Amino acid sequence: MILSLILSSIGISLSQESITMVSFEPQHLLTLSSGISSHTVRDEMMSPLMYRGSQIPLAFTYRFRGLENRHTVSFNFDNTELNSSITKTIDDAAVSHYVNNLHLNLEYSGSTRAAVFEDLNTTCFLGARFSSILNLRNHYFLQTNNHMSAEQMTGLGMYLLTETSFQKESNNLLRVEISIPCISYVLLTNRYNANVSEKFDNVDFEQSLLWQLFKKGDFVSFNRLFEVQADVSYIFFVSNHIGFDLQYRLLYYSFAQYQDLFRARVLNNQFLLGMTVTL
Amino acid sequence: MTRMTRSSGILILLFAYYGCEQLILDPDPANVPANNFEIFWKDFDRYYAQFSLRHINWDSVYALYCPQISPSTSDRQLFTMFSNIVLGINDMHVSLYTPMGDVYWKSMIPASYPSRRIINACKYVQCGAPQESLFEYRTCQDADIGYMIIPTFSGQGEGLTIADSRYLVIDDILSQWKDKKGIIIDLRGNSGGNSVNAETVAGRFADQVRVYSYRRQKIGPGKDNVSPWKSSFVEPKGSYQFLKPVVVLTSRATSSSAEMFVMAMQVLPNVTIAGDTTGGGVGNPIFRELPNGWTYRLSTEIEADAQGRIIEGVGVFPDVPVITTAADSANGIDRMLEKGIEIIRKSQ
Repeated sequence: MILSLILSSIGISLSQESITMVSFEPQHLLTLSSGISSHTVRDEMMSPLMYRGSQIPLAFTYRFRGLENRHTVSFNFDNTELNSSITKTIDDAAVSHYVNNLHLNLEYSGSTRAAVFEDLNTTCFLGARFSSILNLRNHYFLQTNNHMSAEQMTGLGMYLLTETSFQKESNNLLRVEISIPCISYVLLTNRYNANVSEKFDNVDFEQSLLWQLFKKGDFVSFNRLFEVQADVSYIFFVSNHIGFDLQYRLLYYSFAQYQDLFRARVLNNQFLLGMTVTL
Repeated sequence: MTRMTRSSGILILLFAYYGCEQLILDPDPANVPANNFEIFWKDFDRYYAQFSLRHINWDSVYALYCPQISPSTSDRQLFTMFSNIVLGINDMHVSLYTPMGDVYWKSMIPASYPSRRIINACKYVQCGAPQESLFEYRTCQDADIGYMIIPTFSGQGEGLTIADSRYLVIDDILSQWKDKKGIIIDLRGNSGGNSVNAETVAGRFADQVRVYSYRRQKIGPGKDNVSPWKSSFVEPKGSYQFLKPVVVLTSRATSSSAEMFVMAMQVLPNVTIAGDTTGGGVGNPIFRELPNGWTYRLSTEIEADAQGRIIEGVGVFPDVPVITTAADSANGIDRMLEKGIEIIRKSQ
């Protein structure tokens, strides 16, 4: 419903503006990227301290550039060891506290041309993004103890894309994307005392929890979850079909897990370099 | 792209990368005695559920110790203060772990407590080769009675499965013991673990879904912000449930999730709890850590049995009280196990 509202509002704005049509061939772009992914986590349930770490991520992106529309599907993965100021040696959990953070991000965004700024060679697109994020953390402490915590949120929200060409008749372009989910379906909402929480009653703990957890999620909005993702990428082609994609991604969210008791704030920065092919 | 645009872009990205963390996430609290004390005290203030139950004025703890903290307070002095605080709460689920040692309250269990384990085992059960199973299970000298020790309920399943599959050995054991007239489950040294494992095993003895306990959780920052009472259930699990007489042996060393197992078994009509009162600490503890690397845990719950009796600091009362004294132990007599065998024989 929100998606249709956003798209219909775009339609209204389109009808009210006179947009200069530019001759354009639709493109399908596939990009495989890697680089460095840096996570900073402050999970009040886990620790008063920040945990940080970097890892080499893997990202896959498909983009469709149509005459009026843009569609993007992307998948992003990394498994990062996070350390804090009290991490001493990774192998000695007796005195060391560290976290393994599995990060998965799957998203789709669709947008329609909303405005063209010819002087700036820039086109703006407005639409919606559907994104699903998992941050699964295993917090190791003392000798044999570990505690799992996680956020899994699937959100639908506003999406803004600008594309800027610095040279006419060139496929090279700078893309800036910003999205903010308005409503999200969140699993593990009550992971404070998760194993005794009311939400977890009637769960069969002898079976895998994935589907059972999925059924027990909650819809949340800005009152419990604020999330923003910004991507800046520059795609430049070295031949008609092959190019490179330099990308910077910032993902931040703040999620109140259990009333006012525990809040998780997660910041993920990524610098990616990818190879792009046009189909 | 012009050189200026390129430079501006790089500067913006560098600012975003390095500046965001400082802007969005506050810096870590410094590792100084005052911060360590504040965080320690505040965590208990926000998350500990049993102040009223244990008649503790937590603000007075702050008033007493805070003035003693200064930048020159040594680790040893801080350790002594924290130890006194932890021990003063009298909760077996409140503990402190430091390089200088671990501190936890254990005074409810007498120093030389013989009721923690089986005495003179081969007198009562058919001893054999060591078993690789998590449970130790034997046949009593009376071959119609099975005897099993469940030493712990700790462990977590792999992946996103919370129940530890090692506890499913109970299905194998019960399939071998279908013809037994009764089973004795020895929990005397079981200090708990994961309550899900306890419910997994208890379900193999349940005839129907029953409420076995009530709990209330800390749900807000105020000292008395606790949830309404919520029910915990024991329900039939596994392909076969053993519904013939069962005796569960308990002692003061039976605690935490093992007490949840005892409460779950106590509501079943075919089960008798025999032995000493259990340790009296369920509380669902959480672990926390300090800037100096010390770890501590605290209870976030209050647990009551099916009759509504709060067991925190009290324990679960056995249906048939019996203890093995030091004299019994010295004479090779396991009074509790003998009582268990007697109960099963009488019930036939």
